[in-house]
This record gives sequence, structure tokens and C-alpha cells, in this order.
Amino acid sequence: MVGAVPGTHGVTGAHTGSMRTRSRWALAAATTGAVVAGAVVVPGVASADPDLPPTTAGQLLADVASAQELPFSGTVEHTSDLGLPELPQGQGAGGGDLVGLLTGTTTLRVWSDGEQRQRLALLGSFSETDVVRDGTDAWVWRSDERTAVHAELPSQEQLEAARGSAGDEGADAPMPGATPAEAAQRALAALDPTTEVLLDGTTTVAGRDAYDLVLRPRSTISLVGEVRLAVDAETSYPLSVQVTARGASDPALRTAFTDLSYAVPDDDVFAFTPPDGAEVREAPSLGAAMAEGSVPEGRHGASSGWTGEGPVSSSGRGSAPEGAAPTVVGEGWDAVAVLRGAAGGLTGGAGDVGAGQALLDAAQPVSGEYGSGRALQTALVSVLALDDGRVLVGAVPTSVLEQAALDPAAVP
Amino acid sequence: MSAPDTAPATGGPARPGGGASAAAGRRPSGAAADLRLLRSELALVLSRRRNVVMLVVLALLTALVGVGVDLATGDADPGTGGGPPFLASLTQNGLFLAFASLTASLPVFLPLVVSVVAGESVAGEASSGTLRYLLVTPVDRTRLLVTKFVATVLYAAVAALAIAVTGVLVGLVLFPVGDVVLLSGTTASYGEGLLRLAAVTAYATAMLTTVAALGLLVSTLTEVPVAAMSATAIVVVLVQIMGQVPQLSFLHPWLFTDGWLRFADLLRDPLALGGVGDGLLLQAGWVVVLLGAAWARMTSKDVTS
Repeated sequence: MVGAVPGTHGVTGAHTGSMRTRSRWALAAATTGAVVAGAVVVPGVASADPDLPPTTAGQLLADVASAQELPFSGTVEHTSDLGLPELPQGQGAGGGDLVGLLTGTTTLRVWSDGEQRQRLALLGSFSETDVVRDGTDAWVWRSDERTAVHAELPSQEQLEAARGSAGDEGADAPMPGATPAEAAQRALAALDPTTEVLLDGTTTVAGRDAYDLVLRPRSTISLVGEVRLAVDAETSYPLSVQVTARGASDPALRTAFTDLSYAVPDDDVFAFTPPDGAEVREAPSLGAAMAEGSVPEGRHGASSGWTGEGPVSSSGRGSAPEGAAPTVVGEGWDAVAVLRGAAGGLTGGAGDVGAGQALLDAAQPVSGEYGSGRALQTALVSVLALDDGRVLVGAVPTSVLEQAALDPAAVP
Repeated sequence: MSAPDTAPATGGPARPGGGASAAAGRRPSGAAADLRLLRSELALVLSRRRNVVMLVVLALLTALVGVGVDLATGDADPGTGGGPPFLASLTQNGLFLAFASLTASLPVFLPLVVSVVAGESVAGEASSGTLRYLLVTPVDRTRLLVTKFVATVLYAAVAALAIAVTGVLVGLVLFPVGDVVLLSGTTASYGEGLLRLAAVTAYATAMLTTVAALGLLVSTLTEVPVAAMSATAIVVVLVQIMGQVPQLSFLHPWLFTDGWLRFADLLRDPLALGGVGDGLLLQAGWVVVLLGAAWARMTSKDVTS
């Protein structure tokens, strides 16, 4: 067809031609601009630095240490950019996995009643891992495996008894009787030899005003460039933690509240009853329960690193030999932990065979006077797994780990 | 030009489904007229055989998934965690067939059927020559555009519902039903499970509004409906591929497909509404932008055929 039908022009007046066309498109473009501006600018305005009463770095440190336990609930976003390879994850998991904390972004929801009950939920795209603590009962629930692992926790009295027998271990903690100024002095003095502590203005995290506290290692060896804490101006809770590698501009680890409320959470949140059809297991401790939850059936032997209870020999889970506690070589930020008997090597801590293999592939074979093994250096942490079963971990380059392996304290 | 420019009845292809007849007549005014126009548009969309066949295919796919899982249950170990989301829970509760099918359909099948309907909406009328007749009658172009958008979104809702309802029914027949175990390990009643399914279905529909707006925009740019449909579908697929490329991660939060599968948050306890809200807001932003462009094009273009 050629030309326009005259009648249709009369109806809507598109006849007026290009000027009208232009104004219509201009309006559409303006709308687009407004939407983009709304999306980009509004969050920026909300996070303008607030005006807060002046304080000192030492005072802030003491406040953090003596902060009262408050009930709260919120959402936390955790991002890791350690330079690790993409770790394979179960298809349904998509981040709802403890291994997922090592790479990419993970969203967590947290609740606490400020006393004996806490809950943490790792949100996967179609799964969830929950750690629920209700007094002395703890549950680890994994939706993709439908497992609920229960662990009995020591009661408050048992914990206090244990603390009492530990003697003067607690002497470094700020004493309740000390004045705020003394506590501040003490906190600063404890850190000063190894760390430069400074206050770096104010910020807003999850809609709350906060002070920015920066800890900078004095060490020239450590991989850690700085640790930045946002401390709630009102409650002294840390609202975000960012760890930046030396020489890097963006944090390698970032954990921050995106949403936080100090209201007392519902009782329901802390009540966990294993659902029908779930596989219910018992574990000796919360660490073991978390490890058990994150490892597919039949692969428990490789789960040592997650228990957080020191190395576990490959011969049996939970039967760590006496005297296998990690030795520490070096001081402060340069400290290197030497784990013995972790025969799983680098795969040990991965919690999943697929992820462990990916980590192993990323590690370089090394050898020297100390023996041979594999080394992996990430942005913040290095791991050296030796064939003799020793695993050295530290926030230092692998060359420092190799030296530490020669240290008399670290011999096998 | 030989086509008459008066009544549609005297020549040219008639608009099926009575769309033109409802829009014709005296100048319509107010909400009643809007509703009448929408009803006729919706009747037109739902009476098109192609669109009905697409709904049936979606329902059949859902049923097929259920039958497939039912047949495979003998040798599969339930709860191993592998496979598509929610499928492992299916053997425990039939309601999960609806969730699993919606999850599986949202990335490809649902956008595809919405692309077909949205791409057809303006270009189809233009190519069959009914658009100008529609515009001869006193129907404002803006109103026509909005009506077509709403009708397309309603079709998307019907498509999502077709999957959800088939899922519930086939699940009732093939699998055990009862209390629903949510992702957080909390047990909810079957009724609450249905409510949450309704919320998930509504969210899935909301996620398709951008596809509808995009299809409408493309549809105003061409008079070849097939071109509009395929262009829309291709853009949807492209955007999803962009969402998978790590080098483009700075763009990811702004892609309209970013929040699509976040409806899993509706299956947590307590409900996690932050992500869902962000997803809805993102869709709203895209719809405003795309509909704005479609409106600029629609109200300024020369309708020549």
C-alpha cells in the first residue's frame, strides 16, 4: 500500500508531523531519564555521610568490645573476591551452601534475641541452609538435602566453668570495672604494636549512622592491606566489615548488613522442629553438625577443615589425636597456623569434592627443603598443603609459608 | 488506495473476536468503555487458536514433568539435591510440581508465549489491515496501547495460572499431598502452601510484564508480526545470556531478568520480601521506560495499512 489513509490521520492527529513526533519521543526519553535517575541517584542520596558527635578510635574500639548484646534481626550480604576459581555448586544450591561463602555474593538472614537464641539462614537461589540455636539445642537444616543435624551445646554454666578454669586467659578483655577512657586506652594499647587504628569519618549502613574504623597492619609482609569496620553510632555493633588486600582498591571480603532492626524477633523464628521426611542426624558439636550438613553422604572423611576444631585425621572423623592443635609461627598479622594430620590437604576444607577439586587445580605444585606439596595464594590468605600431612595457613604470601614450614616449631 | 475509509464492515478483513464492533459506535467514555475495550481485546487474544494451543502446551509440559518424575521415582533417590529446583521435593508433596514447573517455564516458555501475544498485538493488526479501522473509530491511541498491554499481561497471568493449576491437579493425582515443608525447614499447612503458590504465580506474572511491554514496543515498530515476536523472544534470551556472563556483572542488577527466579524467597519462613520487592521495582522501571517508548511510537506513527 502506498500513502496513508486520510481518515486515520484525522482521528489522532498524527498529521502534525515531525514536531509532534519529536515531542512524544522527548517525553519518552525524559521518562526514561527519570527512571534511571531514580534508580541510580536515590540510593546515593540516602547514603550521604551523617554528622555524628566526635569520638576517638580507642573509644570506639572499647565501645565495640563492651557492646551490650541486643536482640536484632536483619539481612547480611557477604561478597568474596579472593581470586579463587568459580567453585562448582549443586545446581539447586546457587549460593545456599557454606562453600558458597568463598566465592561470589551470598545473602544471609540473621536473628538474635540477644541471649541464648540465634538463627542464621544462608539463602541459595532455590535452597536454604539454616543454623538455629535455641538454648543448648542447635540444628543445622539443609533444604536441598532435606537433612536436619542436631547438636547439644554446652550450657551457660558449663561455659562459665570452662572460662573460669582457663585462668587469666581473659585478662586481655576490657574489664567491666574500668572507666571508658581506661578501656579505650587499653584496647588501643593492645593493638598498637601490630596495627595502626584510625577513625575515618562516618558512613551509613543499612540506614543506620555509623563510624568508620580502619585497622591497618603495620606488617609489610601480610597480604592484608586494611580492615574497615562500620560501627553503629548508637549500639556499637559492627554493621559492616571490609577486608582489602595490600595494594588493592576494592575489598576482597565484604560483609555488611543491608537491612537491620533492633526489634525483638518472633519466638517462632528460633523454634525448629525437623519436618516430616527429613533425615535427622546427631552430631557431637555445632561445628561437626555444620560440616556434616555441608558434605554429601559418604564423603565425611574429607570434611576436616570445616569443623573449626582443628585437624581431624583421615582415619576417623571426630577422633583428632591429642596434641594436634595448630601451632602458630610468627606474630600478629604475619602469624602462620600449622595444622598437622590434615591428610585431606587442600581438599580437606572444601567440604565438597567438586569444589575441593577446583581448589586443588588452582593450587601450584611446590617443593623445597621443607618437602613438597601444593600451594594456593588468594588475595588475602595463602594455603600450603604438604605431602607429609602438614597444612600451613596464613594471611601472608606463600613464600612466607614455605619459610614457616622450616621453622623448628612447625616440624612434623 | 482503493480501501474504503469508512466502516470496516464494507471491506477489508474483519477484526475477529468482535474487537472492532465493541470499539465502534458512539464515542466511548469512562471506565465502562475502557472495560469494554479491554474485554473485547482479551476475548480476541484468548480466542486466537494459536494462543489457546500455547496454553495447552504449557499445561501438558507440566503434566509431563509430573508423569516423568512419577515413573522415575522407582530408581531415583529422593532428596539428593541434584536436578532442577524443587523436583527433589516432588515425591514428598505434589504441590511442588507447580513450583518446579513454574521455575522451569519462567526463563524460556513463558516469555516465549508472551512474546508471541505481545508481538502480535499491534503488528498483527497492522499487517491484517485492521489497525486503521480500529483507529477510525473514536479510540484514542494511548488507550488502545494500554488496553493491549493489559490484555497481554492478563494472558501472561492465564499462562502462569495454567501451569500452577495443572501442577496442583496432577500433583494431587500422582503424589502425596499434605503439609508443605518450606525452604527454611518449617512446616506449613497445604492451604498456606496454596496461598504461597498464588503469590509465586502473581510474582511470575509480574516478571513477564517487561516482556509484554517490550513486545508491544517492538510490535509498534514493524508491521510483520512474526518479526516482532521473534525479536522480542531473542532479546529476552540475549538478556538472560548477558546475565550469565561474569564480565558483565556490573550490568546484572539492571537486567530485567535479574529478579525473575527470586520467587523462592516467597517459600521461606519468615517471608523474605526484600529481594521480591527489588524484583518488582525493577520490572516497574522497565515497563515505564518501554511503554513510554511504545507510546511515543504509537501516537506518532503513520498508520498506512
